[in-house]
Amino acid sequence: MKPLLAILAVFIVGCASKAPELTQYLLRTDTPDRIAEQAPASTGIGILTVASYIDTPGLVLESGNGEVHAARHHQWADPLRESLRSFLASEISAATGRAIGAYSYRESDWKRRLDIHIDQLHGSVDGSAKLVANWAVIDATNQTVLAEHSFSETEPLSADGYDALVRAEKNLLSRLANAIAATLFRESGHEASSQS
Amino acid sequence: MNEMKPSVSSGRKLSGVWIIPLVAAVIGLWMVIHTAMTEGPSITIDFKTAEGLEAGKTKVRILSHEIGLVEDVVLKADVSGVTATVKLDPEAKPLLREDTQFWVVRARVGAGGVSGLGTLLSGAYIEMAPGAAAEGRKAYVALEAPPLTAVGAPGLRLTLFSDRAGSVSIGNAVLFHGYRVGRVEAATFNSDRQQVRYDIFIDAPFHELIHSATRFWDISGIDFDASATGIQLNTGSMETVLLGGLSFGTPPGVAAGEPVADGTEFTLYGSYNAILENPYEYGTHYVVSFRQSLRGLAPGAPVEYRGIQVGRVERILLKELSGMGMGADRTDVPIPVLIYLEPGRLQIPDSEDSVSLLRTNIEQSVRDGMRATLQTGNLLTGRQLISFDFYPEQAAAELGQFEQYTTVPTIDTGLAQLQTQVSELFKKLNALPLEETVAGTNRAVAKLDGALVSLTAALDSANAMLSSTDTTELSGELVASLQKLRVVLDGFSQNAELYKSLNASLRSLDATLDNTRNLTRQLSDKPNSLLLPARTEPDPIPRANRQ
Repeated sequence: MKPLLAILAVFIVGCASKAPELTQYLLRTDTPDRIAEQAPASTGIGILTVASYIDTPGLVLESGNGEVHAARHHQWADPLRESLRSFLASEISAATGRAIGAYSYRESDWKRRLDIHIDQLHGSVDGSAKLVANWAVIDATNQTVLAEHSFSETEPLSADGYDALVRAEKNLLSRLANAIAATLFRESGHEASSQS
Repeated sequence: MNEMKPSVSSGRKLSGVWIIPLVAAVIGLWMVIHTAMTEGPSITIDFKTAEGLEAGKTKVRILSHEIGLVEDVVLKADVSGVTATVKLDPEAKPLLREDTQFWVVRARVGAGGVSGLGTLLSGAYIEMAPGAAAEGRKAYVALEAPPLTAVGAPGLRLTLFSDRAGSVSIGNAVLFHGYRVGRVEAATFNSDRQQVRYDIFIDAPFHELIHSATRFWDISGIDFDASATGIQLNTGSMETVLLGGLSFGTPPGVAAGEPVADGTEFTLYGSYNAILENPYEYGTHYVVSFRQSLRGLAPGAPVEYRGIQVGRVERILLKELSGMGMGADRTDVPIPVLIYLEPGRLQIPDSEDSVSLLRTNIEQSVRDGMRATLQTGNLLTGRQLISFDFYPEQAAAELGQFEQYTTVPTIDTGLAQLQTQVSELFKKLNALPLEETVAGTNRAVAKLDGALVSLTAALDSANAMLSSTDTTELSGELVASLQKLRVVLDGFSQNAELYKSLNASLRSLDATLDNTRNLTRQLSDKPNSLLLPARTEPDPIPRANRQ
């Protein structure tokens, strides 16, 4: 009987050992939501895909030579492919001053569609965050591609830790939204918001 | 006057003393006669070798009782053996008959057992088996081995002939229903009959089991038979498996025959199956000729009439065929097969009359369409058999003649028939006028072009008709139907409840799958993480760029 109790005790102690705390981050835009009052969107985000290695809850850190590590204890609160939709829609909308549909509920009303692919979004050992993305502007009526663009930038971390990484990644995504906004209405002669 | 006359006598008077030699002579004569009368007989016995024989020492015994002594052993002039002179006791004289047997008893070790161990110490001796024939023989030839059956033993001595020696040898048991009732006494090769001759002895009272319908078969070893009817394994007793032996009995359905006398000849069959296949005495030969492959058709293969065995294949008459020179066309010469049909198998009496009846029947049946065919009896072993059946579509035919045998007409069946049919089909295909057909088709296509022009004109007319008022009304109905269809499809549009509900469910399913993926990833990293605590390694911390 005694050995059994001892084994049980080992298990209880093992289970009771303290696991590191899980920290989750929301990807939310800091711009005020003014778009809801506007007219129905004539443009929206259609297909949004993220690279497989970042389609995971953990924040990804590249440690060199292509080796990546998805954090176990620092995670996005929402899947990126979901939160990116509303984040980018809000940011692009803020940049262009027009309503941008985040979901394809009213896709039939759209004149333009944005298909976005996030290729890289991770922190690096050299103390920076990197974002590589490309997108296409599509004429929703004729289903033709009007233009294709790509974006690749890095942002240095302001401090150690994942908080700084999240902040840097959000900054990069905001800049991506601005870049998209700049290209969005250019093709058909619409006024485009000025973005550097 | 009385004169004195001298008495004259020869003066020679037999002296009494002579009585002595006379008596001696009488006594001597009596002694000679007595000796001759009371002395035992002296005989000569020829042996192959003098092994164990010693003059003055080797004794002659009967039932272990001493009755004589070897007096002398001399080598024969031609060195073919030795001749022993044996002096027997007077009491043995009446035992010396024509069939009296002598043999040397010495230690023997054989497959049947060990005998004569006592002679290892006492030395060999000559055993005598008294006979029952006429007296007076003085010279004998010794047996090489002790006789298996005592002279005069009650029973029946039979002769068996076999085509092959098999594994039956001298001393082997003769069994009846597995019980030992006799033995093989001798095995010799009969050059006249080109057969092996076995002399067997059946002990009384079992000799009464033998009658003219009795069959003998070899039960030596293990009998393994794979034939058209399947695979069969037969064994006798352990003794016969190891040493060999014979068995006898009456085939099923055959009535008991007449009692037999000593020396009756029987055939020794190779196996019980051979007897089952040949239980009848009367039969008749026929020849059937085939153009197809005879692979798998072995002598002994069954000849059947609608599945009932009526005979067997005797052999393929290749020798006779080659003797005929095959004629001019060697490619199409049918190969004759000799078959043996037995009327007894058809449940009619096994007699000459039945054979005549069978021949008459076959002659009539062939006119009515009966033919012989070669068929596969066992797909596993590929054994073939010959089958008789009626083929009414066949033209009437008559029996033929091959050498001294009557032939029954045959037809090809099964694969061979299929092969012939396919071959004929291809011949017909080859003969088809394909080129002319193609040319004809081309002409037809040209005509079709003309027809298409006509069709276009017809369609123009149809268009004109469709644009008329009646047809327009029809399209109005079509529009109404399409509107209804649109109402239905609106239920599936993006703003419809159904669509929203479906979308919510899909998002919920998506979230569930996400969680499942995380769990799968965790389990893949650490399969035991459900039971044991997860690793507590901290994540690497991203460092700010200090440069």
